[in-house]
Amino acid sequence: MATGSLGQPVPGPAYRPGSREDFDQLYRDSYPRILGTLVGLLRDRASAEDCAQETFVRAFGSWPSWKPTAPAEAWLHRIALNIAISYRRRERLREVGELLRRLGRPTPGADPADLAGRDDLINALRRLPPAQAAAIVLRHYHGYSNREIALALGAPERTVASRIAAAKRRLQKEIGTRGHSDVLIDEGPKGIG
Amino acid sequence: MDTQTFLLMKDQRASGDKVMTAKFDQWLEDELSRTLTPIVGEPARPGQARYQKIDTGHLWIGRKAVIGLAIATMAVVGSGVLAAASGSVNPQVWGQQVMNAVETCKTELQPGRHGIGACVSAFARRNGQQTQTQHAANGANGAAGVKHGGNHPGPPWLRQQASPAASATATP
Repeated sequence: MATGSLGQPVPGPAYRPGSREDFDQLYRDSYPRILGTLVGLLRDRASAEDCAQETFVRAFGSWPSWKPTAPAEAWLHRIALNIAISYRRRERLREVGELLRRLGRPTPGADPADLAGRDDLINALRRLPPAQAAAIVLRHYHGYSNREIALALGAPERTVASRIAAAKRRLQKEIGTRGHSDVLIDEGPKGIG
Repeated sequence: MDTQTFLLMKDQRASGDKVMTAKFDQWLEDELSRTLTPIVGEPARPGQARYQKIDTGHLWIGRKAVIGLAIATMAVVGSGVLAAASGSVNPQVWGQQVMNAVETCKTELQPGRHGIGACVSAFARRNGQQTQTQHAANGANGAAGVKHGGNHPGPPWLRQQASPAASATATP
């Protein structure tokens, strides 16, 4: 499923399962976009690159048996999301371990290098459940329709719609506390009655 | 507030929400584009990809090798069992001995009873133990057998090489 950035999806090229040349082409076509999605889901670019590489390693293992019933990029996105979920789970476990080790010691301040260059939106996205964050990136950056997202994430279309709505609500809440109130949707009919 | 005014306000509110939603969506898309486009714009180089280190051809050869090895192991173990049972490494001898045992078991089978499996197994076990004992005795005398720590005397060239050493260690 190739799309221009924010453009309409166009039919993807026909890849032959098992063909090394076609997999190289698929890598050329999809790697940056998979990386872009993963940057929106994971803590840093290095993690996103690691997971993107892992995505292609796994995909390559299944490439001879890949069935072109769904667009190859949707298939890759599904693998990428599973890898990102596992990655975040491991990361959380590491953080808990780190927290337990630090208990009782003075808390170090945030690393300025870590904070530098961080975007509020990306930070807020990273705090969302991976499936919600992926739905937002696929919809609002890659230009996928709900149907295509459902295909990519292996979820019903209605689930995708509710995930996007829930994600937006959470993003608005998070972004609102960071001084972007101009883009907030005014929820609830407070002034009526 | 009458119902008409309330409905009017509700309509205004709904259209206001739509405007705000569109505004938020636009902001979301702009922000994502600003952040992710520099990343997505970078060219991908398959030559540097991690999957290039995986050779599926080798994987398939590896699988075939494992299957082949398993079959070969089963054959060796099976022939070992037969050799132990027959007391010979010659398959013709195993065949003859097993056929003799089958015939003997058939003739010994009592009328009204079926199956000679237990009888043949008992023969194989008995014969195997005899052979093992015999090889152990041979191995104790043969230097190569001692050297390898097993019952088999080993091939002639090993026996020849090992003989002086064995006699040297045997001498106090």
